[in-house]
Amino acid sequence: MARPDGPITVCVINLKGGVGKSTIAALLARRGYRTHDLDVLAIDLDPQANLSQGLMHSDYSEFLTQQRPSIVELFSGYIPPTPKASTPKPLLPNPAFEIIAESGPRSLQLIPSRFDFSDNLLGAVRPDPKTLARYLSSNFQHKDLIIIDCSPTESILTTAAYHASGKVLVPVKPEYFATIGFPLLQQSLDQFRNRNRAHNIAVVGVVVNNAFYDGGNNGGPEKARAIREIRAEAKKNGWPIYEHEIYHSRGFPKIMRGDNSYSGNADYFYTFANEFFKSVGL
Amino acid sequence: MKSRKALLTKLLQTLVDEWGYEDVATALASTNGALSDRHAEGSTSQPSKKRVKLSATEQIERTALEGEQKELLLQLAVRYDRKLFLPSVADVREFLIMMGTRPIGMKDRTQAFRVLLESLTQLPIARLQQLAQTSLHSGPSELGPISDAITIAGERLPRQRQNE
Repeated sequence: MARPDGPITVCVINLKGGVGKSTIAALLARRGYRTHDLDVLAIDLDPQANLSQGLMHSDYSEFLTQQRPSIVELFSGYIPPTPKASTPKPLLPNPAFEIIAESGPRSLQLIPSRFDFSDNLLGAVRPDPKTLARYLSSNFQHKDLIIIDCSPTESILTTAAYHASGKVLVPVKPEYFATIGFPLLQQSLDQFRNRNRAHNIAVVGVVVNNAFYDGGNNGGPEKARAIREIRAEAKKNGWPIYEHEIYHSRGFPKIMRGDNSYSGNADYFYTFANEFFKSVGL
Repeated sequence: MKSRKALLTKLLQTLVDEWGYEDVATALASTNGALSDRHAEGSTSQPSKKRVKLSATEQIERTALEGEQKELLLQLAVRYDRKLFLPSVADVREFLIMMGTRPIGMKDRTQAFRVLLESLTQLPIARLQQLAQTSLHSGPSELGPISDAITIAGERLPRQRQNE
């Protein structure tokens, strides 16, 4: 049953690359669907399309080959003519976009991305950053959770993600350069708030994605230094930090690849996930 | 002795529940015929008690399902037998969990198909079509085919631009 206040929409963002945004977005989407019984939509706003590959696995190749609808078509507003249909078609949310899993009325759905996404969008005349928000408000009010994976480079896609979201999740790795994206993100959010005063958007939390192999020293002094910097920067911006870290695990790339044989320490992802779902009211 | 008879009745009831009375009776009759033939040939060997594992395709063929649903399930079963759909028992387990089923004690992939079939028969035709026509749940992905698909899609772009 749909939530009375509509879906909780969270964008996963850090204006620094390689912090695990796509992996965390994919795992939260899957966990929300399979363990918390939520009706979930995942949106890939990153032209690198790692979230799409992490949820679709081998099918991502067919998605490209068959030219199935993606975020590009969402911003265009229609499905372009194909060899079979010579007229543009309306972009209905179902079955236009990918269904990763389905159980009764609930599903885990994905609006996938393509590598030519930014090229397509920037080549268009006056791309409207509110397009995504409008489409979600018209077509996906029945969802419980919408997770948006953002590109690390600030662009019109970042603004599109802000327009569509009420909450922001910031992953960070405890290493040198860890907090380099924090001031940029805070500045970007402040600018957005100034231009859109009626829009309520807040950082729901910073999650430490452990970059170190925990061989008994939990990262040593370098991690401790980085954590101190993360805490100081987060405090300056008024961002809470999740109590549970995401442990380093070789299981994460395996899961993203679609290998279910052994997930190792990735099994402990639930400790952060439970805290996250509680923090957003799910 | 009584418990052996009760066990036989229970086993037969399971077979009848799964395949229906007629199919079981026909299979029994043909088994009886095969045994008689073996005796007639003078064979002294005991009939094998080893349980035959049905492939996914055979399991679908023996169901009472009909029409497009059976056709789509057959397509999935063929891919399952070739390990192109849910290639490991861990994949079957994950798939069932994603469908809201909690599989318990599932160790053998061939036998797991029976549990899987119960869930697949609950799916609407449109979802079965999607599963049959895509590579969803086909196991670990390799970067090579994805890179190739990106390259091919990239080669299409200049022609699209010219047409715009």
